[in-house]
Amino acid sequence: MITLYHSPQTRSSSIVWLLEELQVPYETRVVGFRRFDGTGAKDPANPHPHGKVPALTDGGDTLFESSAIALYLTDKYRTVRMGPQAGEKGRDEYLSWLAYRPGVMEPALLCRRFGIQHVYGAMGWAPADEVEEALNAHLKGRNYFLGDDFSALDILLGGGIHFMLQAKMMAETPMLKDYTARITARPAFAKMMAA
Amino acid sequence: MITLYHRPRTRSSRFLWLLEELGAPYEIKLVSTRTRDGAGAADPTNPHPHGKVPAIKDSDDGTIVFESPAIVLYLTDKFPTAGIGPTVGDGQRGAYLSWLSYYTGVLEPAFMSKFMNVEVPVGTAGWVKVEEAMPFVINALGAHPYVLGDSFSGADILYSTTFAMFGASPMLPKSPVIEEYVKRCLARPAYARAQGREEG
Repeated sequence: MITLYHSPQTRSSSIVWLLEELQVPYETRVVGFRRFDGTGAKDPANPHPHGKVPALTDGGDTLFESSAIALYLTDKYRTVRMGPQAGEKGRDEYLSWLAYRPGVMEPALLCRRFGIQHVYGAMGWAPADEVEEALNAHLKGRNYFLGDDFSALDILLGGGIHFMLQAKMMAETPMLKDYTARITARPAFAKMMAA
Repeated sequence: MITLYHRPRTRSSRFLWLLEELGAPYEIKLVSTRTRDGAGAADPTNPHPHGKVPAIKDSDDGTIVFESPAIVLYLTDKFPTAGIGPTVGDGQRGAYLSWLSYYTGVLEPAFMSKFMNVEVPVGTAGWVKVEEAMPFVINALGAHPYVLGDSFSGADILYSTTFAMFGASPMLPKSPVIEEYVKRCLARPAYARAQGREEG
């Protein structure tokens, strides 16, 4: 049985969405975590090394970090295909963009929000304006991140874009508006919101 | 044939090491990148969306992969006989994916926050402070020689080169465990071979 260590309306919600899309049995264990306002505390039951969410256990496997969890799940649970396997077409884009979310998109947008100047050559990410350009350029002419097929990228990056647009942390282009409307119309998105 | 888009003495250098470990056929394409002093420019032939290094192209099928953890995973999955990346179904796969993700999503931004001297917004940022991340890493490496336990993996290439780069700088809290780990990893023959290819 899959156990997701979860806190509602946080990064772990993406994994709820993904598990609903995959239609695999799972249980959620709601845990506290340290919040920005100083409230909340780590839950000792949470296997994440820093008590963050999401973390996930599945049989003897323990995972932390959203991209790792998404890749593990989509490689293992294949009845509903939510990402290309090793050796399949699109695997390169799938791995690259999965890594792009924690490595580039998140730190870039957070740095802009907190007014941290970008330093070329030192930071592993890019300035937020360039990240927005790259995301718009990639999604141009595509229904989903991988083209015609919805995948976990549309949950991790697409869901992230949806959140950033709502929080006014990213510019709402007509294309991003259409794209996020398309992905949030899915039944699994509604299940995530209710979880 | 794998083409590595590379700029000497940057984040792409360690991919020479990985390719040497894997015994993969590869060629190096030297590209310029934007630098801290504003001197460099992105090379239009570099397929990375931000003109950064590393990126790779696999001429077997035209595949393009960017971002370090993605490239490590793509290559260790493609060349599994080298035995430096647990494949799908292996009991270590989950840990391998987690450590690769942790590197890019937690450790790098943690060091960068310290370097920029900014507070990490707890609960908002996906990462934590260096002072919180390193005890976790040191604890794991104190118990086992490599991040996954007894076996060297592609993840160690990311971690050991990062710690080697910071060396004795105040960025990295001093730790004999980390010093030994860096020595152990960098003593590998493939690392020495990679040094010989640094300039292209």
